[in-house]
Amino acid sequence: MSIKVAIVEDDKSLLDAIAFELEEQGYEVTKDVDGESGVETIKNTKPDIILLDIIMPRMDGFEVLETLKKNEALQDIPVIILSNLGHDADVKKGIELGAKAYFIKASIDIEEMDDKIKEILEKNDSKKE
Amino acid sequence: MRTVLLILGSLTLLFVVAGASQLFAGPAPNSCLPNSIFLLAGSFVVLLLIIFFCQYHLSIDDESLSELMETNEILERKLEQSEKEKQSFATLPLEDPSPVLRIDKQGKILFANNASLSLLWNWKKYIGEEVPKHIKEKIIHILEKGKNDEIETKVRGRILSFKVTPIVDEGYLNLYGRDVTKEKEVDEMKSEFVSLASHQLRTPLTGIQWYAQLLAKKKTGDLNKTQEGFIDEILGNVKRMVKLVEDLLNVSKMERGEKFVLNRQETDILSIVREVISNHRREAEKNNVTITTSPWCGESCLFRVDKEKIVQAFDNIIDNAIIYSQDGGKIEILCHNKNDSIDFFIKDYGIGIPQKQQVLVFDRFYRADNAKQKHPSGTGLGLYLAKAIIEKHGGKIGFISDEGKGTTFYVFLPKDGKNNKAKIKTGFLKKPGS
Repeated sequence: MSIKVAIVEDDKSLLDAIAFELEEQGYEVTKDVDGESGVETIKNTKPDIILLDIIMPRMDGFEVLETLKKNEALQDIPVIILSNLGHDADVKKGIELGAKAYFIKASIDIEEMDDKIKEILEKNDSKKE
Repeated sequence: MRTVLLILGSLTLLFVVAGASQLFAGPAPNSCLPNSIFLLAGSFVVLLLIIFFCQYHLSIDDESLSELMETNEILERKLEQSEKEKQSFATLPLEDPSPVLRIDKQGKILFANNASLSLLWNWKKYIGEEVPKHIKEKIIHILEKGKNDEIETKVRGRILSFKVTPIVDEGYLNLYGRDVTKEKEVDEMKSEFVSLASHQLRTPLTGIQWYAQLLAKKKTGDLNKTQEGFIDEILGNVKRMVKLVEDLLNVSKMERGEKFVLNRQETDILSIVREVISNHRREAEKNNVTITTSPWCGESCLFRVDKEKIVQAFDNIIDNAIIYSQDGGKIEILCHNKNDSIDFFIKDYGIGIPQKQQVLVFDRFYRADNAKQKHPSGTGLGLYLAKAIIEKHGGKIGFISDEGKGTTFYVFLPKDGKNNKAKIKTGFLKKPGS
């Protein structure tokens, strides 16, 4: 069974690029361009992992994280923040809110995405055990 | 004049005594002295001489006296003027619109001018009392060091920056304050702008990079050699742009006083440097430059460092070594592993740094003249950031260089980030080309 990834990213161009790469790698992908619809999709599809942007319309990434962590059914889904916002305070806030990793989009190669996702999922599984 | 008067006076006395004795006792038998009338007349003449002499000289003394009095008046006026000036200068720090304070080695306020009153009010302190603890600790430290320094403090929403001058011999410090609130606001706005602009730049760059990477991986079909080359060029340029934005963001962070928050983790420092070198091999090949790395010291060296930042520092140093190497040149990278620290040497045989410009090399945005000619698009931020990163890790960075022959950069890193007493084996620090 393929791994389900929810991508919440307001930049359509970047969203399509990651989705293309991950689908190529065999992931099942959902795409959302704002936080609010992202939360809805996550509630409906219960993905294995979430790739989350921070600066988005309607509901930003931090608010999405807070919403997810309050929801018992969703709080254990690992979240990777993918943002170009790279202040130390932002990274700290993201991790404190429960994200498993925080990557600067511009500093990551698209082919690394697959490895990063698998690494986080493995860590998450070993913790559960 | 006194001697003349004494002689004349003695003569008069002699004449009067002799004359008077002859007049009352009669002339002595066989005396050779003239009779009393002549003696008294003589004494009268000498007396006249005295009066004449005195009058003559007294008239000169009058002139001198008036001159003297005039000089005295001038002196008195000058003295008065100087006293006034002294008093006026003494009020200079008092009337200074900026805060001026003098604090002794116990932290006691010895002097505070009018402009310092709001600060004292804020501290709830009077002259003669001790400054607040956090200020006291800082200034005592400055007095111990004996070097001018600066401290900042906030008063009712304003930011005051004090230049602190320790007067070690007297055991006190003078503090000259300046309201820097406006400057800080402007700096903050500038940094925020750079930060925002950099963030906005990152997003389209990410898009270009990711799509070029998808093409390069032939996800959309095969590419011919020329197309592959073009995609490589796009990716190379995007990487440069991303790095520039990173550098700008880091400088902006440092200016906002965020400095570097190091995310230290136990990491193999050698593998970090190896990784940086490996990432630069392609660029080195393109520039027809070879990189040799031997002998490496051991399999691994675990250091507590911020990997991302250390990569950035070495990235900048090695990048420079490649860019400023001559065509067909070589770069040697060596290290000396000591138990509690490690030294790296990055030696190139490139254009070198002109002697007179060497002191400025680590300055922000500074670029040596020959560097600008060889590589016009550099930013002058690379070494500035490398230095900040290495020093934040408790390390040291330096170089020796000969224009036209090359440069050797050395980096010293302590294992725990605490020991900043660099002891570098200088064997490798021979002038490049020698």
